[in-house]
Amino acid sequence: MNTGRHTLGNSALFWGHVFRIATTVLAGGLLGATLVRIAPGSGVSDQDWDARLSAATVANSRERRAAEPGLMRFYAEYLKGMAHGDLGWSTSFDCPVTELVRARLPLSMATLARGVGAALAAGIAAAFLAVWRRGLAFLPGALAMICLSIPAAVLAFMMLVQGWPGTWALAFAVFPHAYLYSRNLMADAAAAPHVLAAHARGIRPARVMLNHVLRLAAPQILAVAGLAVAIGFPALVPIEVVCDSPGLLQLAWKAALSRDMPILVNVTLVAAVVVMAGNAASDIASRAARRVAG
Amino acid sequence: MTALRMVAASTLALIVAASIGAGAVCRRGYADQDREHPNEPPSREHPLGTDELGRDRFSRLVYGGRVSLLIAPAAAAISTALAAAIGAATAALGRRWHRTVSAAMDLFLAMPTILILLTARALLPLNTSPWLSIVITCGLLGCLGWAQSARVFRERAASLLASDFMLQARASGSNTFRTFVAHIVPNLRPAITAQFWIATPLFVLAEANLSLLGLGVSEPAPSWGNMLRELENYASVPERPWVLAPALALLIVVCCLHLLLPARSGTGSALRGGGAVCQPLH
Repeated sequence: MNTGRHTLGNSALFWGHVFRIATTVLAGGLLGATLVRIAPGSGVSDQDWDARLSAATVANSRERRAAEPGLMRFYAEYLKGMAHGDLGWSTSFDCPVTELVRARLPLSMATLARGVGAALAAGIAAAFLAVWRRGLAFLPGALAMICLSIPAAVLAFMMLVQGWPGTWALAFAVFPHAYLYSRNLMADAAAAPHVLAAHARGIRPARVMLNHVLRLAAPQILAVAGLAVAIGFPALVPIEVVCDSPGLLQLAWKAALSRDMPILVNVTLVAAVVVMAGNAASDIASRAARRVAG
Repeated sequence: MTALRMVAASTLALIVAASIGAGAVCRRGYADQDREHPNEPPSREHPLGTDELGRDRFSRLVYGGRVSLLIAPAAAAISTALAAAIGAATAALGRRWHRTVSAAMDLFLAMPTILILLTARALLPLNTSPWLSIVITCGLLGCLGWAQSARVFRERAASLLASDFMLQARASGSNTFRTFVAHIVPNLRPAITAQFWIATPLFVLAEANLSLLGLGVSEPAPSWGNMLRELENYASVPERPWVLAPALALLIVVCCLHLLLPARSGTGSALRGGGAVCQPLH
């Protein structure tokens, strides 16, 4: 079926996604600025408790801070800094947030890519087998059920006990979603009239699966990749904490414990951008695959 | 009801009953410390051994079930009620509201829930009494998990508002309030029930993750999540497998909840085939 959205050109689709990400960053930035402003300890300086300073100096410092720009000016300054790559100052790490994000993001992205990649490969292969040979469906189904029912942190502990890296915990956390979505898509494709007709004509089941079912479901399965990123990135929080992996999500946890709002709001924004970019990439790939498949 | 669902329902009922009647099931209180016997292996006195403070692990598991199984349904009820109210109101209040609330929903959905939870938790006092920490965890999970369900309710309410019987109700002079109470809410009830059951296992896991990270239920109140912090000493887990008891309890409860979900609405009706998957809160 050719809907209106499918007729959108690649570039319109791309710019549509860019606009959505930019809008989210802007709205999230304003929300984050508000949180930084209302956070406990905001507007309080170390000078207030410095016993070496006289009462007059402390009062002077408080007066100076009270005369600082109002809320709208604060928002403008915050967004201006963000546009220039200045994400603020971390109070707990005593360094720029940009520096922390830059140092830790690559590790998280690498873990995400490996974990989600493994989960997608295993999930799609298991779904293929489950739809092709119904008798084999119980095993991946049971594994998916078990993985769905265990917190990601416990999966990470289990990997540590086995001496495996945290990437595997992420793969096990994302696997059930990749498997269940792919299996549902392939099962729907396998029930299509032309697939049933191919079976009726005596074409070998393996060939029907590869040439018809997989081909029909492929564009939507590509979209599952975006979902896997959306599920996998937040799952990295407990995994990085448990595995003591110095990634971006462990930083968020440390910031939550020390109530470092500039880090928390900016990591949340970065996470939102990663998730939306993952969704956008899989959406564009899925539309392209649909066009190729006709 | 299939045999598997019967087993799931019975197991869940047994666990809930044991948690509610924890006082009768356990010989010791969850906070009672036996400093003479810390880190004891299982014995007749302590069926799951003791933790490093000498507290009976079995008692903590049973009482912890009470906390975990109280927080998740309560949070699911809050989030489902919020989602139903916001979704239905958005559908009814016209295009401008529809756009504004949809934008808020998109913003909420774009940001990983666990990071919003961490941010919101960091804004609240960290050093709280155990029972206040339970209320905070429950409130946070309930108030921040509405966006995904609200979309479902918005679409459902919009299709109800456009239906013929609603047209007839309006033509008969039914005002907005009466329309909602008499027509929209009763027709949304099946969706509300389904969303509640879908959300409950997600909140059980979210509470466990949050407590394990030290941002959920605080000591000495037990929850399955904060009991799992014993796994930090993971090297000794092969010699002390009983410390995995809370993980096993979580596995059983969440599996039972998944098995009890309606066939086409399940988060993971994996064994039956079919069922959409709901995004976890991790």
